[in-house]
Amino acid sequence: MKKSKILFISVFTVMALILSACTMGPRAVGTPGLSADGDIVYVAYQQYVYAVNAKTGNEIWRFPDEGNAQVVFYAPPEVTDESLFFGDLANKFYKLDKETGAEIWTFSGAKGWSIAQALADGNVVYAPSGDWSLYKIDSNGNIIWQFETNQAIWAQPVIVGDTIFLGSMDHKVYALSSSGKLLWETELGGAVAAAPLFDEVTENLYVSSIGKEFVALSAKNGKKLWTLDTDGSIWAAPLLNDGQLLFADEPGKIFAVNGETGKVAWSIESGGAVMAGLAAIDGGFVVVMEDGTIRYFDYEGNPLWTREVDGELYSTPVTANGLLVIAAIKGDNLLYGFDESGNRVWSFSPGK
Amino acid sequence: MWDTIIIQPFVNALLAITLVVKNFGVAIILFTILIKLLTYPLTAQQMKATKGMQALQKDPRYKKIQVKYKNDKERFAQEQMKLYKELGINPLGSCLPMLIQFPIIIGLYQSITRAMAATPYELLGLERLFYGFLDPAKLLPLQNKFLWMDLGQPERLDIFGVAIPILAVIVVVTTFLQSRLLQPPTSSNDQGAAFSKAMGLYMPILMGWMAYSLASGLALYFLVSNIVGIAQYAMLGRVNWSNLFPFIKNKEKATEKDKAAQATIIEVEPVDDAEEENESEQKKAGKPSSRSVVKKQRPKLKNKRK
Repeated sequence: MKKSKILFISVFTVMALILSACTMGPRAVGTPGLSADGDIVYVAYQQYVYAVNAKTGNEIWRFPDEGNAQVVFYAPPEVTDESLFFGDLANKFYKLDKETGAEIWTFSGAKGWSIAQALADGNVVYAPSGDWSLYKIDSNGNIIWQFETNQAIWAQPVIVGDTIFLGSMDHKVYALSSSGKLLWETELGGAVAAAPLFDEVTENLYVSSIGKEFVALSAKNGKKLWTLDTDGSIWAAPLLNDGQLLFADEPGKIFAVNGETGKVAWSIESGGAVMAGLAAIDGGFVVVMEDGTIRYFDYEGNPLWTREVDGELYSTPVTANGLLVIAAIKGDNLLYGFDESGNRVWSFSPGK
Repeated sequence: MWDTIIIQPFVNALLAITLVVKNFGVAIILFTILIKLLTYPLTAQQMKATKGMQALQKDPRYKKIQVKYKNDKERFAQEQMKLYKELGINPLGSCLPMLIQFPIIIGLYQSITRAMAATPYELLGLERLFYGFLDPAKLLPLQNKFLWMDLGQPERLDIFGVAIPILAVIVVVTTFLQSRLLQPPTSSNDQGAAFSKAMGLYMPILMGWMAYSLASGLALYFLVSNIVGIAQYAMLGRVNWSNLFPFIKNKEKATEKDKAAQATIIEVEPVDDAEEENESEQKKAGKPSSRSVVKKQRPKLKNKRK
């Protein structure tokens, strides 16, 4: 074969490989979306959504049967009595039978990726989208209304009575009526990537912002009550325990803050970068760090135990069947189940 | 290492432009133009060297040594090097600028991809790339709407309910134009020309597919890169407009014919050893040489040919 022909074929092959590498892989890199219901853990990661038995760590089902590199899942599934709701990075939103993983309907009206967990309320579901809109969808998968913000929505909405509270990457928090009418909006110092937390006692909303601040708002009118500045961005919703709000910033500092006053009761260094939210378990809370470290503290901030797993931890842990379930990326396993003493009970790695 | 040297400065430059113009789409356009301008000297050097190599391929002396030493590669290489020196050609002159430009182009592509962070994980990665003088809280996430496009999504323009990938079509057209305009005006059937022709067809398809399936922010970069590329080559006088406009071709062909005619006249002059000796004798005698006579007659001969 002549040299020029070999050169031509080589260049053609390299270009084809570049093309396939650019367009055939996952469309974006994300972290596992984790949720739980009773004895079952649901995890959305890359080409599949898995249902895993929380007692044994065995796979119950996966959706879809055959993965597609162009269809990627990262949004934590929203679980109701019978169903599972989640979206993908191909702009589609799904309702599944939670027992079997069978598809019931899909909604294709959105034009953006699903990053946030949806919110189910009775017969309707609120689906946030990367196309800047929140969609209210009926039980048959038809759109009821659409509310548009000025940026992507990566935070799960919260519903209190008839009011829907929504944080957006446009740096704002919105309050909407059940008909989708804007009640109020408040601008913060940065984007909101986590669901606001509503405290029934104070009737305040607490909002984490990647603009390095933690803010308390009046749920009635959106008025800023207090702001706590932090050294790093805050990516996850706070944990509420007995009037005290607990959260960690990205450099790894854990704060315990009085919800009424905004005063810091105590703060400690966790020892690593933190993106995930804190998870409550048996008289204390767990923080997971980017470097694979898991630390368990009591509510006074005293460390109780520390464990390590192979991989990086970015997803907020969940509890199922009395176990703490942690999702990891870039490691040997996708899921780990730990008991309250920090013993690893099982691990889950999806088979092919 | 790669992130520190290439990606981080590129991302911060892109973010700084975004901060000024308040629009990520405009920032991509300006940043691509800026990088192309900064690498222009390298492009110019590369083109100059390529032109030299093309001239070498046509040089009769090169053809002669190709034939003469076809069975002696070592001698051929020696003679080739001599010719390089004589013509002032650096054989690495076209490769080196390309090697320097390659990481810059890859870095440009990757920095745009990184800046379009589409998930919390990617945004965290972007936040960590910020230099101290930029405030991530104010800038993030970047405003990804530009004209009718969501720069983080593949582009489609809805026309009467039909989603048309306008940008991908424009990328195909500009890539095709670029490769057509850069093709040398040769009718030769050599394999190099065939390869160049095949790439001219393959590249638009490749780029079009990428523009169709990747985020429109990258498709925008492909488009601007193509347009700036054509402009740069035009400034270097390396664009063959005749490949697109045949009326220019006729003019160029005519010029080439003239050149060919001159070359023929020179080549037909028989200069053997005996004649050279004769010439030197005539010079000594103060008579004009036969060669200078031919030179003086050249205009007449040209007219004869015509």
